[in-house]
Amino acid sequence: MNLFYIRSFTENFYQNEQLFFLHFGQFLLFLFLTSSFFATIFYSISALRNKNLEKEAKFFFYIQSFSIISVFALIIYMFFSHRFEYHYIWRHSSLSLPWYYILSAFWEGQEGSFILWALWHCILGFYFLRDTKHASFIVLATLSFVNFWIGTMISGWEIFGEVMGSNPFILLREEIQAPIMQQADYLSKIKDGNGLNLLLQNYWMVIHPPVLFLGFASMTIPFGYTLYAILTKDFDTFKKQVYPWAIFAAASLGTGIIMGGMWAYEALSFGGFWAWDPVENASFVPWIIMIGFLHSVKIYQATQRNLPWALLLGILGFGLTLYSTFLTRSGILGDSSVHSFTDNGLKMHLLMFMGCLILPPLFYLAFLWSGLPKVKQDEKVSSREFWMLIGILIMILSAIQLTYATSIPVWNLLFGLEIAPPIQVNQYYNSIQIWIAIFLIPLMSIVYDLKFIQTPWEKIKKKLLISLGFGVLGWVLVCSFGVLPWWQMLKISSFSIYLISSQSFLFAVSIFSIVYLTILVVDFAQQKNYKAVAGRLAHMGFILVILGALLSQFNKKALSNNIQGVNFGKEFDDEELSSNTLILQGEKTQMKDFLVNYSNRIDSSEVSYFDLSFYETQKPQDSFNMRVELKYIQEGTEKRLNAEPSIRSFWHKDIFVHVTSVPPAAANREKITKVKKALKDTMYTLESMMIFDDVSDLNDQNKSISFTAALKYVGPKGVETLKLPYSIKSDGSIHNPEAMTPDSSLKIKINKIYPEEQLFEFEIEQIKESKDWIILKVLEFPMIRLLWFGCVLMCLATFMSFYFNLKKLQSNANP
Amino acid sequence: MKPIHIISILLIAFVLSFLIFKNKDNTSYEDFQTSKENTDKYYHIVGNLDKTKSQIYDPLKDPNHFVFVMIDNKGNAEKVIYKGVKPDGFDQAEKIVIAGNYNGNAFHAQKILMKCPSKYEDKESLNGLEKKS
Repeated sequence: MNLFYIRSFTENFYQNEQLFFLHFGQFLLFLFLTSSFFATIFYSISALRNKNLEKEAKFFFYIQSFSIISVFALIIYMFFSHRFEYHYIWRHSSLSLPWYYILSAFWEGQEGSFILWALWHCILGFYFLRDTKHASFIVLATLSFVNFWIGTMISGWEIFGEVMGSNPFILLREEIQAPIMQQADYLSKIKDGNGLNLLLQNYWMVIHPPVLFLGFASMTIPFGYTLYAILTKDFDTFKKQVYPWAIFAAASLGTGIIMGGMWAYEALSFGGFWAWDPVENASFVPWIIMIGFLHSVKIYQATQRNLPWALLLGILGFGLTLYSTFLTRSGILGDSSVHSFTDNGLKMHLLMFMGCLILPPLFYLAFLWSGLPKVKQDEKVSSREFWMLIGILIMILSAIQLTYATSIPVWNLLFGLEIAPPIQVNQYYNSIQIWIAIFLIPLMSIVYDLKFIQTPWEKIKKKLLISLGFGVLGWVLVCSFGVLPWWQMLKISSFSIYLISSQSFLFAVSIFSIVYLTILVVDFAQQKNYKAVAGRLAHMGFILVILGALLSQFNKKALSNNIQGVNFGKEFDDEELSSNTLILQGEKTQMKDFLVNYSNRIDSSEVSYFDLSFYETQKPQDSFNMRVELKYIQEGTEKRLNAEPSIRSFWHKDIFVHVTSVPPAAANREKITKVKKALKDTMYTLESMMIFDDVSDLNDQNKSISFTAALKYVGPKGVETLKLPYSIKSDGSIHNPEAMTPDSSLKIKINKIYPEEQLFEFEIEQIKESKDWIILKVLEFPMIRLLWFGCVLMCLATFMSFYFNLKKLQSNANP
Repeated sequence: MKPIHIISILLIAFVLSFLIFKNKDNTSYEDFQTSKENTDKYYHIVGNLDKTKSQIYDPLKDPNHFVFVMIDNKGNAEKVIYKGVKPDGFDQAEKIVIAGNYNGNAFHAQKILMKCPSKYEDKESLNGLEKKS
């Protein structure tokens, strides 16, 4: 794709193509790239060389913002006017796509999400434009430089034979080389677009990517301040101004991640909120580092300690954001993730950029390290900063473990290893991260009550004892009444005993911290110190998320568990696998306390509906009806099933219903099947099986053959033997009468024989419509609302905390 | 030594020991032969479905019992038992990856991953498009 792709508007060989979008779009991308470059240069010079180039820099920043907003608007317009001559539009949308999913279609592709990212950089930049301080200049220069890099990723230019990224304005006929594309009127044959992936046709996918990318974009601001700090050594401005923006980054990234979890719970079938998927981990790690960074800055603000660590985390936070982009966009994760991103040849490009942006500051920081201001005396063990530092350390360890395990494909590539991902992914991560949480959660409340420098014991004594009391009470209750089904898991293996005890610890420390924080929140609310209240509520929200996850995920039950079927003994204790139950139409099936009835099926070409009713035998008022949905995704010539879970929420639990298999749609069901079998083989039909038992002596004289085959028919009503005669006369005529099964459900005959291969072809005709069925997986998530409540509380309180801290910063700046 | 150093060292030692201890949960890509020799170990095995052998999946009898024969990359065929629903699109899969261990006379898979032909690829849908036009 060449930028200067001059082609006359009027002399286009192809009919009905609107090349205006191509030319204008390329122009805007070029404008974006150059203006972001010059904005970077002019802002850097203004800040570091003390030359007043602010006006020029601002001009370029405006141009940059204008061009990326125009690109955004242009592509949205192209989506709405269905310009299928453009590959991006054709690839991600279709005529029938509802208007609100145009946005999900926009950021389904790599190009769209990069544009979104750049757009947020510009919008965030507007806040700093008003300011004429050098710190703001560096932040703006950083934003512009990252935008410049994003610009190259969507340029699609060829440099040294390597194509960089992909351009959203590329034409369909250039991207896909097919004979049809050589016809002048090819566009009239392209009736519709490829359409949007059904999994993404979900309201969370309209809102989750923008918030997540706001989070990624806002990670650039603390990085900009960190660069300012190491370049100018003005640590005082750094510590004051970066703090609210670090909170903002944590809040927006956290909200984005949580929304992704909510989407996964509602749209994906793995049955949970969080699955330690590499893509989830890749965005979670920068969040952890950002939390570590903002606490480090807090320590530096209060005690002048810990500056080197704050600077290091400031660089790493952004570095890991880039690394996460590298993991998810370079295609290196391959099969280890449910999120499918293709390799667009960005691997080297991404690595190069990461190197350029992260390594120089890291080396420079290492060079500065010993000269950075430090406090000589040690922290006191009763001081807040001491324990905050421990907390930060624990978080970093958590991030190290996650990064190590998520990067296994990278290690494989680097060192030529063949490590496969763990089989039980959840257990693998949980068993480590649960201990991180057990250590971290008590710190989140006690440390919040300690004072910087030194704390008198009397201050915390009463609150600590009350909360400890509640914590111990919770622990005893959990172990004796078994809110967690620990005795059930005891028998599985020694590993689970170990896991179980950590579950009850986690429960206890969560109760302890929630009680402690509640006392603190009430105290500060009475003093009308809302900034302090917001901070403590954010911590409480996080603990509620963990507690909610503990109760709902660890404790989830499969209702559809092992009702029928063969017992395989000990080696299969995994509930996950054996939790599918078959429901016959019109028959009531028991699932724990529910009687499940499947009454009706409605088919269309794209979706099937199944009407189910759940009758709660213990509490009839909790009975409900449900219509579950099964969509068909066209993949090439095949149709793949995609079941969207249906969820029925109660205040204390969710019933999560998911179709795992169904017989093919009624229209596709074949009445006649032909199978080739050898002697002793078995044939299956929906409700029966037949074993090809015996063949009577073959009479093989004068090219005429005759024999009788014996089949053992195992039907719903018992076992019978069927005799199938077969003969070929010397004139070639075949005599093969059908046999009917005793329950008259099937007709069967021998269709053909293959003497050389010793194979017989049977033709089976189904006479009676066999009963319809559906296979369900039904899970119960207890107390999942606690998890949602924790998520909302954490996000809102963190944004509130940002607001109060920003207000404080502004009021200090203009007294 | 300062208290912060002691606690830091303890924490780091704790996590490192975990990492080493948990590293055994990472499996590796092997073949049936290795799996047969180490029945207590879990492996990932890449291979193809043996389409000449019959599969057993009868949801009316047991929806959580699926048996098939897979040929690994070295050409060895083995019976595989999977205690779950037969995955959709299984017969069309180009390659299958199973994870589990060998037990008795069959490989017990805990996980089946499939590589489907041309997933999300443009060319296929364009072929469909050409047929339509």
